[in-house]
Amino acid sequence: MSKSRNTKEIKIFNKEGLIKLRDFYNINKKARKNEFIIPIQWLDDLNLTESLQTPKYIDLDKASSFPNRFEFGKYFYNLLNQDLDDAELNGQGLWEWLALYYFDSMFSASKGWKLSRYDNYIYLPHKKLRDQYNMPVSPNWVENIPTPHRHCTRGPYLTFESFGKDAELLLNAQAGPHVFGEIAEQFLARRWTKDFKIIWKVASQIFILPDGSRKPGWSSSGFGSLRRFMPVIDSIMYSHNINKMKTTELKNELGAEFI
Amino acid sequence: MRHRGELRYSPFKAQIIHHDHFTALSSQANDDISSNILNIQIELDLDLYNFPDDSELSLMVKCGAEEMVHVDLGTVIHWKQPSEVFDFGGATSAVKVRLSVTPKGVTHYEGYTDWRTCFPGKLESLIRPAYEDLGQIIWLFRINESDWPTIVLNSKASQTLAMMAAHDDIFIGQIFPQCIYSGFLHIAKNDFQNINQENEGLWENAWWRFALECLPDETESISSEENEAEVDRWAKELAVQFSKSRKFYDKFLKSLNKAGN
Repeated sequence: MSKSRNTKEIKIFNKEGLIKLRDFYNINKKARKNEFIIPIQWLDDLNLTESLQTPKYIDLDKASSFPNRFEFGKYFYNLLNQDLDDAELNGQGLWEWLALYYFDSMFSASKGWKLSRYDNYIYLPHKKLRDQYNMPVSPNWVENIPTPHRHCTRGPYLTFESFGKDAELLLNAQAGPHVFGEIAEQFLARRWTKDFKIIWKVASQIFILPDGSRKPGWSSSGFGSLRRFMPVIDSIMYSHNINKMKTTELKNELGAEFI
Repeated sequence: MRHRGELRYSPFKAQIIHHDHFTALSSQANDDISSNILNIQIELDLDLYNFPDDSELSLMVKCGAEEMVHVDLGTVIHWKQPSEVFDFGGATSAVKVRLSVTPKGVTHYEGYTDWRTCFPGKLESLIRPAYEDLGQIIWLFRINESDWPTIVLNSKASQTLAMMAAHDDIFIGQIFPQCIYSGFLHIAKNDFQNINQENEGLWENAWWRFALECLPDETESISSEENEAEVDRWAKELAVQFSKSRKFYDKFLKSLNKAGN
């Protein structure tokens, strides 16, 4: 897209910018939105940011904000996926800039909301990748299981890349885009599900009704809920090669509770 | 195929492939042996099960609860080794594999194995590498009941030492035979605990299977041996057998002569 007047150039934070961001998120952890000032001036600070290798621009007529994380992931996947280099995609800098840019409109809410731990806003893969990509920010907590999937902008981008429209079920928490959501927390951590696309294709058919609403009880833990869906899939995988199954066959195996 | 003492429900009456007939070994796919990027080789013997020739074989490979990969291997009559490189970088759990057999045109299995630990091939099946800052020490051998026997390499030269530990027979030959000898003495000293089949996955069991392959008769009887000299001879002979085909001594001597010239 060529640069026009109502656009915003996407930047990446450099090392100094990332450290400042980390300190900002860390100091304000659990603070409410009216208790801190969002440092949007850093977005354009030449000492803290750099341009992408292939400059890219947000069309503000279309993308000044998004109603949910799915739409966010879809827009930026379509905008960026052809041109990001390996370090931009897998490093820190870009995703943190996008998180801050949309922080006010998407990733924070005024009522009762508290700032989350900084892995929601700063991409934190496991140590080996952090070393490989020379990432300046590491967790300041004991890291038992890395949480790279949790990042508010990179997570939706990659989930859309893996699942396409079926990502909607995983990404959109009922509370709104400022919330990562327990469903995403539970299932995006299982990175292997991206190799079994039929799982989320069937899940979307079951849990998203034709009018776009969710199946009643989908977020509970009872029969027919999404929470029970995965253990049932596990049990089917014990006896079936689900890569060979059609969606109708998998739905039949799932049983009446998921009709 | 049913084995003595085994009574087990299997969906669709699928045959449970015994672990004697399926083995998976991993090896590092690159020079960085700490990277957990693996090649996997499997060994199969499915003759006893009478699966149709055109049934399809597949392999599930997982590392912890987060990472799992599905690999098609071809058919029972024409199967191939996995060509994929499995990148489990960052994951520290054991790599496990499960073989399955699916009839052509059907989705349920007619045969499968349990999830089995994928043993590192070559030297790593017995001794695993780790890295620590050891000051002026090059390596240490560490045995701990709860963990795999470990050759600790000095992290200050981790890449060089890792390469040497993987490929340099002069280096390997001066370290690993002693480690093998010490490890088997340790097993004997601990009254041969954890060597039995039900301890599969523990290092003592893996070492015991190595011993049974190398010295089947002596190993069968050694656990009842009370003469310490005999136990020492058994452990030494295992180290000798380990070194025999690799010709560590010959290579070491050759390198000395070459240096002298």
